[in-house]
Amino acid sequence: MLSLDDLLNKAKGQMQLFKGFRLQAKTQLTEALTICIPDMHLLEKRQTDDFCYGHPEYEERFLEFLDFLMALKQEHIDFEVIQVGDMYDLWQAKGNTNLIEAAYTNILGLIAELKPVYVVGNHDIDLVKWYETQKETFGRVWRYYTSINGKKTIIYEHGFQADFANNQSSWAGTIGREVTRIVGMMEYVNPDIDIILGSIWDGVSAAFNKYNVFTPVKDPEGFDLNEYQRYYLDLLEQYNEGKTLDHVGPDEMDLRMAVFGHTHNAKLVQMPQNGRIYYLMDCGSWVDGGHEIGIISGNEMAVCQWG
Amino acid sequence: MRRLFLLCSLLPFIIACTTLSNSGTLSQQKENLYCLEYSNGVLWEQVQSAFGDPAFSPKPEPGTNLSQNARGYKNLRVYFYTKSQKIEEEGKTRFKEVVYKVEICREK
Repeated sequence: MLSLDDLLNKAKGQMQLFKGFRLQAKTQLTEALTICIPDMHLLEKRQTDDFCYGHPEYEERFLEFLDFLMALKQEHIDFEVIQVGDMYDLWQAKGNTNLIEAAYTNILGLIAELKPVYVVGNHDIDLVKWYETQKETFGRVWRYYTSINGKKTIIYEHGFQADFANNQSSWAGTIGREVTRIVGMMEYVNPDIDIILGSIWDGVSAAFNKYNVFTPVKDPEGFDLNEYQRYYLDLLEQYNEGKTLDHVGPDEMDLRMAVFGHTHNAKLVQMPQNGRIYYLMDCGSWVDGGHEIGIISGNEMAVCQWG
Repeated sequence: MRRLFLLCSLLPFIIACTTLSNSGTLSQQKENLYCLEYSNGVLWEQVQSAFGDPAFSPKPEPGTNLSQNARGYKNLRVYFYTKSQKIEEEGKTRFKEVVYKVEICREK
């Protein structure tokens, strides 16, 4: 397996540690080099495009990163790419992937060549909602696990699950859930309410069911990043105890790390709790000037920056 | 409480943002359309039969062949079918969208 240092050396100065975020676990977390690409928010090329900011060199920087990964692939180096959500920004792209594909053909084509795992984010959650009844998710997953010897060691989620209005373990999440239920019950009371109210009803449902009412990206001061860490720390503990709806028992769980994005604030911390050491990696973002990436190799982990 | 207040005050804007129209799938859009797929060599009779008499029949340009003409229609919808195609550009793998099919449609 390519070590973190080997990877940095191969990148020839293009990839550096971000803010010194580097840790080493006592035991292996992955069996292959794992590269996590956080929030990309691809949308149409125009002034509001916060991927390119109207600067083709920003797109070129991402292409150089993908070229580097393609070169690793050609060297037959074993690695896994996980895009941790918000690759498309469907909120800003009129709810459609079509024109994003036209604008970013190179990026999307190259990423697909790397056969990544696509975790769904709150900005591209429509991909799993459009055809929910037909179980068409366009290859997107809610969460993903890395396993070693049949035991899951790392959980990957986008991170919106920890948001104020979604976190079911907080009072805010409880209120959010109850509002969602009431919204749902309205359709039970009158099945035609969606037809009667039309797009207004869609908006109400979407606001509570799909979209985060707040995101830490838009309102960073209103958010405590420690809340995200606390959420994932609790989640790891709960899952290790088998308290999950993912049809996996505690025998299959040895979770020691959570990887997420969403906040656009990279961070890597270790937290001892109940005799274990847990690792929490917020990969940051590629957009907003971040161009950050999460790297895990064996027992090593780091947040790096490209370019 | 601050968040709850913000939630309530921002809700109308959130709802407005989340009601952006979705254009539907291709098959949904084509439900009320009659479409003719373009391919090289399609008979003009088929075009005329599908869309009626053309709205524009320009004169031939000087020096051109009288038997080669252009005809235009108003109020037709054109669908270009695209797919991503891998190419090599200066030794790097790149992708371009190419058109592999064209359909011209009118409302039924």
